[in-house]
This record gives sequence, structure tokens and C-alpha cells, in this order.
Amino acid sequence: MSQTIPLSQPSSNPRKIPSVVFFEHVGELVAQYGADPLLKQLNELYSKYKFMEAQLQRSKQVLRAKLPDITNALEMVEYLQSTQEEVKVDFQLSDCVWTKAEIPQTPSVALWLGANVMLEYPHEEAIDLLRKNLGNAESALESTNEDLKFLKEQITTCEVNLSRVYNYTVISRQGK
Amino acid sequence: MELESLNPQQLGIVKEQLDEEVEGLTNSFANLRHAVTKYKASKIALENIDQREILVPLTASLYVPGRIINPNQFMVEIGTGYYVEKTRAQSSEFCTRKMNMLMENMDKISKMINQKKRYLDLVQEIMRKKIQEFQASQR
Repeated sequence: MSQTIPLSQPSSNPRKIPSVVFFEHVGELVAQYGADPLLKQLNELYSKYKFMEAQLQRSKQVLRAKLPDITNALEMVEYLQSTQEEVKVDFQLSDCVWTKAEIPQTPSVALWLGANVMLEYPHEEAIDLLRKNLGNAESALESTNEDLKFLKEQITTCEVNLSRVYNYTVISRQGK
Repeated sequence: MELESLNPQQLGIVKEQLDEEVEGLTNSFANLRHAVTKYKASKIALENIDQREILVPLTASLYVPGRIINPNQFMVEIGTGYYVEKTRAQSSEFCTRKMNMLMENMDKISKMINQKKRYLDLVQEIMRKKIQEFQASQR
């Protein structure tokens, strides 16, 4: 008997993560589906949620690392645009070696877009692009945080379901 | 240390300790090797710098065309947060010295790792013997 037990349902989460059905009457469900299939499917669902949580944690870390970089790049381009003369900088040549360079007035800057792609942009466009990237990263971080909170609730509900079913089986076995 | 006098449980504890030490030392070895690679890369970078126009990295994703002011003047990080201005020759020599020091330490550590491994083998041998003796005495 391999019925799919209705363990989760569509939720209001914007990323369409299903929410876990809370087991009101454990006894009825055990009688209907059997304790073992119930526990097995609950465990599967639980590990899926845990996996998703780990994934989101990882992408959250990546985003948090990217944010200060984009902010700095944005500030630099705005500064370059506003200054009228040559700029002298110390830049990192390698891990422990820095050297001075002078940057003449240029109308454009180069942005590293990733995947071996670098494009030259005039100041205005660069600022626009960086602002957009910053906005995207910030909202991605926000929605990741929201999802993580939602997932935490679902994981707790799943754990509660699991322990209730398990306790029910223990009690009913003792009763026999 | 009198390994022969220890019983199998104590030998087990010794073995665990040795395992941890070997792991710690191997990690340090890997870190040192990583640092050596970084200094090697720094040296190569130093040698290739001249007065040409370059793309100056202002952040990890922002580059601007510019020129090196003085291809003979560099700042080297000699400690956490301590920077010193050096000429190209001095910086190159600094990197070489650092690399040699790290490689010396790597040698020392690899000798220690081998020693610990030999010790570990000895402990395991004695453990095996003791267990065999114990099993023989049970019959």
C-alpha cells in the first residue's frame, strides 16, 4: 500500500514552498494509513525541508558576502565621477603586496560581471547597473531570510507530527 | 613511554590522541603550503610590473584603467596590519625569505608527522598483540 499521505499543502509563501499539515487526530491517521508508512513519509518530508534549509543558509552567506562589495564599488564609481582630477590609489597587487597607481580622468569604468566577462561602462551606466545589482541582492537576501523563517516553522511542525505519531504508536503498543 | 605496560584500553586512548595530533599537524602543513603558494604568486606579480597601463582593481568587481606611479615602490604586509614600503628588490627578497621560512617549517612538520605515524603504527601493533594474548588466555 503506497498511498501518498496528504502531509503538506500549498501555502501563501511567495516562493511556493508547501506548508506542513498539522496532525489534529493522530489516531485516525494511523488507522487510515498505518504507522510505518506515515513515519516513513514524514521522515522523507522532514529531510527535504532540512535540505532546503541548508541550501538557503548557503545562498544567504554568499549574498551577505556580495553586498559590501557592491556597495564599495558603487561608492568608488560615484567618487570617480565626482572628482575632477587624477586619483592616486594603493591597490592590492597580490596577497601581501600593494602598490601605488594613478588613475587619470576617464569617462568609463570596467565592471567584472562574472564568468570571464568584463564590460566597460560610462560612469552613469555603471552606477545604474551597480544600484540595480545592490537592490537585487538586498531583496534576494530579504526573501531568503523570509523563506528561512517559514521553513523553520514547517520543520518544527514536521517534528511535532513525527513525535506525536511515534508516541501514539508507543502508547498503542503498550496498551495491547 | 612504557607502551608494553599499558592495557588495550589505555593504548586505545593513546592511539586516539596520536590520531588527533597527526590530523592537526597535517592541517598546519596544508596551511603552510597554501601560504607558500601565495608568496610565490606575489613574487611573480612583482617581477611583471612595469610602467605600462593597467586595469587597476578598486574592488573585487570594479576596474579602472590607470598607470603605476613608481614601478620600483611597493608596500608589503609584514604582519597583521603592518605595512612597509620597499623597493622591488627588497620586496622580492622579503617574499623569498618568507617562503624559505615557511618551507623550513613545512619540513619540520612533515618530520613530526612521520614520527607520530611511526609511533601510531607501534601502538597499533602492541594493541593487536595484547588483544591476541587476551583472547588466547580466555580459551
